[in-house]
This record gives sequence, structure tokens and C-alpha cells, in this order.
Amino acid sequence: MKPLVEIRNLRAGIDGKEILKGINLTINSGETHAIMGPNGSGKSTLAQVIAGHPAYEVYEGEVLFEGENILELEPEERAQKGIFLAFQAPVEIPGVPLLEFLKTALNELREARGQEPVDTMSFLSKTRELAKEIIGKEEVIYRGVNEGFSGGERKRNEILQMRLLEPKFAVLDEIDSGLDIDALKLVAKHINEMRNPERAFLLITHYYRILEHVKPEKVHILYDGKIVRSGDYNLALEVEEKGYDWLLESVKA
Amino acid sequence: MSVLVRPPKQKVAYKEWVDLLAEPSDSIKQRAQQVLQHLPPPHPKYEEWRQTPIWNYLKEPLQLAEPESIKPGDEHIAFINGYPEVGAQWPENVDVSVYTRFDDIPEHLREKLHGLVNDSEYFAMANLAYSPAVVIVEAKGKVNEPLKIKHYLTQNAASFPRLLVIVHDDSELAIDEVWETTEGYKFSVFVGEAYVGKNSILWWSKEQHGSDGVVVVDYTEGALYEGARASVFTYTSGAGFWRNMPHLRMRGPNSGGYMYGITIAGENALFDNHTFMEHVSPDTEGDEYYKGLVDGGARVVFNGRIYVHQQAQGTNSYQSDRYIELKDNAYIFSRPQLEIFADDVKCTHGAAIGFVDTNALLYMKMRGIREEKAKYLIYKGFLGEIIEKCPNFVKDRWQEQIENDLQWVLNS
Repeated sequence: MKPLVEIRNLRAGIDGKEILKGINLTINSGETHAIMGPNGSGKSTLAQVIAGHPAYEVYEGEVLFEGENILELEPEERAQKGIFLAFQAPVEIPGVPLLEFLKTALNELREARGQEPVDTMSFLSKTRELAKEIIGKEEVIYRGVNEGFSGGERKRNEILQMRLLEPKFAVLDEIDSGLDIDALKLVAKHINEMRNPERAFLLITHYYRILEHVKPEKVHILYDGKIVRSGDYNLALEVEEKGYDWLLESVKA
Repeated sequence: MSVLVRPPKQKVAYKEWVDLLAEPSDSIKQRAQQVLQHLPPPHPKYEEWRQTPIWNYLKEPLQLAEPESIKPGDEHIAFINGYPEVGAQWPENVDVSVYTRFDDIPEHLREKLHGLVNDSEYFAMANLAYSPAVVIVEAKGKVNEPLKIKHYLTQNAASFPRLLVIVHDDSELAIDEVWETTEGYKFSVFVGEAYVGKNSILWWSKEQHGSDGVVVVDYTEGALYEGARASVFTYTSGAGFWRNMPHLRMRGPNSGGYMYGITIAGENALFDNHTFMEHVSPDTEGDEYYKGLVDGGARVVFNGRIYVHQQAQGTNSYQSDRYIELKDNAYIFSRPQLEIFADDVKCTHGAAIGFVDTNALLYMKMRGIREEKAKYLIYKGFLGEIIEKCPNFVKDRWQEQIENDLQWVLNS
């Protein structure tokens, strides 16, 4: 297995406040990792820094993607390389139909890779089919992006986008929050269907329940900007049973 | 040739602005010229013109345009520097007549001429005084194709196109009006008066492409009788000075007036939509929605007046305008002006001005969409909300026009 993503001693923050205090993490192609941790531990900051949110400052360290440091790249260049961030709070873009948004995004990715634009008709039928399966109704593709979508629909829409854009590395920031159990299973199903030896996932979550369906290879606990414990799936089980306090006590001890 | 248009100078009497040409050819024009001499010209000290300093744009004296023979396109009515040329054919159920002498207009129509414009409106009076001819359009029954009107401004001169529209009872008419201008200093005052009869419908689209130096003042006046509907759609883009003053009067019960507009203002442009919804009768409706993109150095004004008369109970009137500033130095002035004298009324207004939504932009970039393309989609989607309200005869064309205009917007 070769490393797809290598995060080395990453220190980053916002408005001069350091949030990530030296993250080291290697994710190989084909692996699914989960990051858990209490509120304010830096989980979302890590996701945003990987995706290239301009508000975050990187003080030190590197994020290598396929061996290349991506920290100097624009968000769209990172996406074109195959990085995808499912937003914790997906944004509404009134007036821009979801279908046009998706097709533009896919064609931008394809253009960056020297590929021809996607065939309109086959893209349309694939998008309709997936929208029906994931969001539950195909007519949403003609609505503005997330315009009038419920919280759950917005999360499902992130999964729809991930399916169509087929990234090499998907960071899913609390994709499970606000989803009922059926939706959660559906999201897990799509993640599992997309897992292959070329692709990796990073799931950021508070809860064990999605991990039950996805079964990540590795679980990391983030606390105060550092990974304080890494383990296999059983670590998530332990956190579920005992809470974070138990773990943090043992870390401090 | 004597000078027709001259900006008011300090210590020069306002009447100096207009030097009379030859003696007016008829009593109506003559009266208008006399009234005009006693009218104060618009000035920034008057509230209505405070945000729209027209004399900064009308700096040099201008002569009255002369008749010119150019080959018009496929429009039914061409105004060539204000002089009308009527095509050989027009849509079924439409009658078109042209009068150069207003005294010659049959009495039942003559009383409608200048019937919707207030005598205190300076530029409208100038139009009445100097318009070379009025085109009178009468629609009886449903007119199945839009009446195409095109303005050509080719001379560096002042022009005064004039139109009178009568939509008889139980009739329907669509007007597709387009302005084509060339660069250079020119001034035009358009007056269009429309009477919309009982249970009739009028659609009026106004497509205005400006060039540097063009100054246009547009009075589009409507009177709506019982059950009538009138909609005015405006698309103003590019450069120049455009002051639009659509005014719809809901004179009959259950009538409805609608105004929708798109403005894409380039550097140095001044676009002013000064709208007026006047609810005279009970149970009438009004809706207006204007959206625009404003480049650096451009000035956009929206003044939305809603007047609900005391007897106009049961009025519903809505107004909204939204603008995206493309650069820091865009100037946008928006003012709702609600005057309500009835009790049972629903009126709302709202304005929003801001830069492009950076969260939306970032979201799109994180999906791999380059910034320029992301902005293109956002702007197109933003203006698309107005396109949705437009009638079919302009929908596709204006959608395409937005795409064309966005090319220069994104390159500016």
C-alpha cells in the first residue's frame, strides 16, 4: 500500500489562534480512517485546511497528496487533484441549478485532467438516478444548489456530489450529524460502495453509529489539536462506551 | 441651426435651456413649449433627481435630431433618432397610425395624448413640445405576436420618440422594445403612454443597451382599468445614462401592475430605475423586483414609490431590489418610498446590496470550479430569478444577453 495523504507536523489556526498543534497522520490508498474527538478539538479545522479554506493559516508542516505538498494550492486545484470535502454545513447557492453545478464541477475536474467534457445525456440520466436514490427525488437537480433543502437533504447532497465527482480522497466532516438511521445507513452504503484500493476516506464524527456501518481501518482521537490516540475500530467502540473523559484522563496521566 | 438643449448655467434663467426652434406647428406643441419655459429643469436639489445628476451627463448643448434615412430591421415600428418609420405590416388585430401634427389626432385619441404625464415633468413636456410625431397603436382582441419597436440613436443630437398605446377591452398586446445606440453624446426622451382596457393584458419589454455618452430618459406610463394586467420588463446593460420611470396606475378594481428589471451597469454607467406603482382602486395588486450587477465606477439608483390611495382598500403591493457590487467603488442607492392612505393593505419592500457570497464561491471552488466560472454561475443564477418572470418572447434572448454581458463583467 502506498501513502495517499501524509500530514506532517501540521500546525494551523485562524485569526492568530493555533488550533492544530502538530498533526501527524498517514492515510494509504484503499484505507478509511475516522477522526473522533470532543467539540473544539480541531476536527473541522483539519478538514478545512486539507481542502484549502483561505481563512485558516498554516504555521508549520506539510500536507502531501500523492507525494506533493498541496498547501500552496488553491481549493479548486486541490479538488482537481482529487480531494473532496463534504461540508458539515453545506452552502446554499440560490439560482444555480444543482445539475448545472454538478456538470460544471465534473467538467472542470475533467478539463484539468485533460479529459473531454462529459456526455450531457448520460450525465443527466446518471445524476437523476443517483439523486432519486440518495436524496429521494430526482427533481431536486433542477433546483438551486441546496436551495430549500432540509438539513438531511443537504447532507445527502454531499454524498450525491461525492458519487458523481469520484474523488481519490474524500474528507467527510460530520456527514452523520442530523441524519436519521435510514439516511445514515444509506450514506454508509454509498461510502462502502465507493471504497476501492485507489481511494481513501477520512470520516470526521462525534458518534460511533456511522462507524458501525462503515467499519474504518483506523480510528484516531483528536484532542486539543493533537492526535492523542490511534487504534483500530475497537477504539471507537471504547470511546462509545466510556466517553472521552476516560481517554483524556489516561492521556494526561 | 439653433440650439435646443443647453444645461442650466449659473445665473442663467432656466428658460434659456430651450431656445425655440421655428414656430410650433400646432397648438398642442405650442402649449407644451410655453409650459416648458416656465418649468424648472430637474436639479439635484429636488429629491427626485438628487441621486441622478443628469446635468453632469448633459454638459454640452445639443441640436434637435434631423430626419435620416436608414434601413430599419424587421421591427414593426422604428424610431430613427425619434422619427418614426412604420413597417408595411404589423401583427393582426393591431392598428398603427402616425401623426406629426398633434392637432390632427382624432379627438377621442387626442384626449389620451399626454393624458398620463404630469405637466410638471420637465423632460416629458420637452418631448410633447419637440416630438416630431406620435405613433398610435391600437390593439383590439388578442394579438398573437409581439409588436416589435426599435429605437436607433445614430446622431449626436436630441431626440423625442413618442408612443401612445390603446389596448381595448378584453384584448392582449405584447410590446418588444429595443434600444440600439452608438457611442457618442446623444440625448433621447421617450414617452410611452398605455391605456389598458377592462380585462386586458399588456406585456412591455424594454431592452436597453447603452454606450458611453448616451443619455436616455424613459417615461413609460400605464393606466389599468378593471381586471387589467400590465407588466413592464426592463433589461439595461452596458454604459451610458438611463433613467427609467415606469408608472402604472391601477385605476380599475382587480387590476394588477408588475415591474421587473435587470441592470448590468458597467464602469461610468448611471442606471436609475425610478418606479411608481399607484393603487387608485380597491383590490388591486402590484409586484416589482429589480436585480443587478454593478461594476466599479458605476452608479445604480432604485427608487420604488408605492402610493395607495385612500379608497384603494384590499391592495397588495410588493417591492424588492437586490444588487451585487462587483468592486468596492460601485455606488448603489436604493430607496423604497411607500405612501399608504388606506387601512386594509398589504405592502412589503426589501432591498439587499452586497458583494458576491464568498461562502458560495468557496464551496464551488472546493468542488473544482475555477473562481471566474463560479462567479459566472452565481451571477447568472442571481439574475435568472428575473428571467423566470419574463414572458416567453424575451426569455431566451435575455438569457443569452446575460451570458454575453457576463463576459465583459468577468473581464472588467
